[in-house]
Amino acid sequence: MSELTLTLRGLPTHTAAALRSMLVLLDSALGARWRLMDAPIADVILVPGERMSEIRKSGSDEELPLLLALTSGNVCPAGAFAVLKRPVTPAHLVEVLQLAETLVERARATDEGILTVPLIESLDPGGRLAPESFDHRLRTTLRAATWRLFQAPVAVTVLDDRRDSIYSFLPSRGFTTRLTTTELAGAFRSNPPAVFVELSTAEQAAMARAREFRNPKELEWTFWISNGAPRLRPELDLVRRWKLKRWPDFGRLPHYHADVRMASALMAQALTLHELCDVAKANDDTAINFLNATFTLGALAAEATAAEASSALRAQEADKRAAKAKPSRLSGLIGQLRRKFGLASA
Amino acid sequence: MGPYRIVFAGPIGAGKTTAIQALSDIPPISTEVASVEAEAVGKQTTTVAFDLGQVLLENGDLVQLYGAPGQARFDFMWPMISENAIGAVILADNRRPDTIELTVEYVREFAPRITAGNCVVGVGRSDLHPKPGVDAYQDALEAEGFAIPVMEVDIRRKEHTLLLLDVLLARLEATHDGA
Repeated sequence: MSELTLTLRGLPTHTAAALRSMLVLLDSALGARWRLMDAPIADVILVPGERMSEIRKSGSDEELPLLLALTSGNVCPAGAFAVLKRPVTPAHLVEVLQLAETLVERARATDEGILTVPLIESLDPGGRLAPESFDHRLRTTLRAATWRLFQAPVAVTVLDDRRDSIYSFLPSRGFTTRLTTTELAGAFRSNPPAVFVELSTAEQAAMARAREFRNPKELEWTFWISNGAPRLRPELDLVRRWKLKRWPDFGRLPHYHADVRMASALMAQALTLHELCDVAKANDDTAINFLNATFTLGALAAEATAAEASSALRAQEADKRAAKAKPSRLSGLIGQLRRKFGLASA
Repeated sequence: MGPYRIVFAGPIGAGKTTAIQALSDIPPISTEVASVEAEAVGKQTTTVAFDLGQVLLENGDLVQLYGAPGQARFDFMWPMISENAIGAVILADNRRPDTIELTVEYVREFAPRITAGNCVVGVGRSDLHPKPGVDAYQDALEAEGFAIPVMEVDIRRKEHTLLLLDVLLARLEATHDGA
């Protein structure tokens, strides 16, 4: 079973502290499934009932995120799925969170992957119950969120299902992530549910000061090279031959062994997708990812013009003559070196 | 015909000795002495002859790893070192203001002597000295007619040395298979 998250918004300090203590004490009674977040986003948001009118949530009361109203009366304000009545007792808190658990599980079960959940808007510019970033939140998948970003770059943080950051992006700076290159590529390949949160001006400024940023092209490359179910980009096709204009920087960019072989093959000659698979001994998916990724770097070109083809051909012939001096020994040598250093193709 | 070789070239402090140590089956033989040039790049010593390592393959064949001396006054040795070389790893040091010019010079010298011009450039110290970037190296090399791989590496990491070797082998395969 997955974790459930709760956040407290707009509560007096002493009330919030008391509720935090109570949640810690009730952890075992709640099945140790609830995590209290210090963030504007969670499965359940506990807010003062008298401030519910400041929040306008689109969608039904039982769609995520759930609003739980802390009130002194029994009347459930519009927009809230339930009331937590003052003074809060442990038994009542457990009962309400168990109800929330059912609703959260039901809402997650209807998630079809790419789903726009209701946005929450705050009308009060001063003493806001919900910060700016709270208003611009979209639950989707990592790949869908990133694709949206490529179409219309905005300042954003993309969170995973646990509300941990996968990466952040500032149009003027690039992207930043605490994940390693391999972890980020793995995330794009597995394509988990994600939350797309636009950043406020203050959040952008704080992030720009605190984090190191990387070239956005690296994010694009990672997106394309790590697709678990790839399709050829519309700019590319199966008919034309493609050639690399320059090598990708494999020192920085995530890649697989087959990508190095494909780069070598496409630098040496123009090939169709299927020819590339044959020459580089790569499968279709790997080759599609490679063509898509190198195209995004601007490193891929359709088959050369007649003049360039002649020049390239002369260079290839010169290489072939040089290589012919040591034909069979080289093949064996290359294979042995690969085995020695574990550099066999993936 | 003697054993095959892989050559490591580049200026002082670029990481040639480190790269050879990562691959060699024997402790590399190197001649290291203190020198003014070494101190200038923060090293205690520098290689005044060349590093020699070797890779022993399963069939008993040897591949020699040669580190070409970085000082220009030893450039007369480059043709000797390049004999039977199947590839050259040119290591660049991004701390140097003349790093691109030096890299082009090394490629110009070694590429014609190496099987199928099989060279790869590894750019070191980019973490603290991000410019010039890889694109600038490639632009300069392409202007000289060289379309060779250039990548950022940290040569202290063995996997980056292996990446450079992987690229060399892949280029050799592509050229050889096309014959």
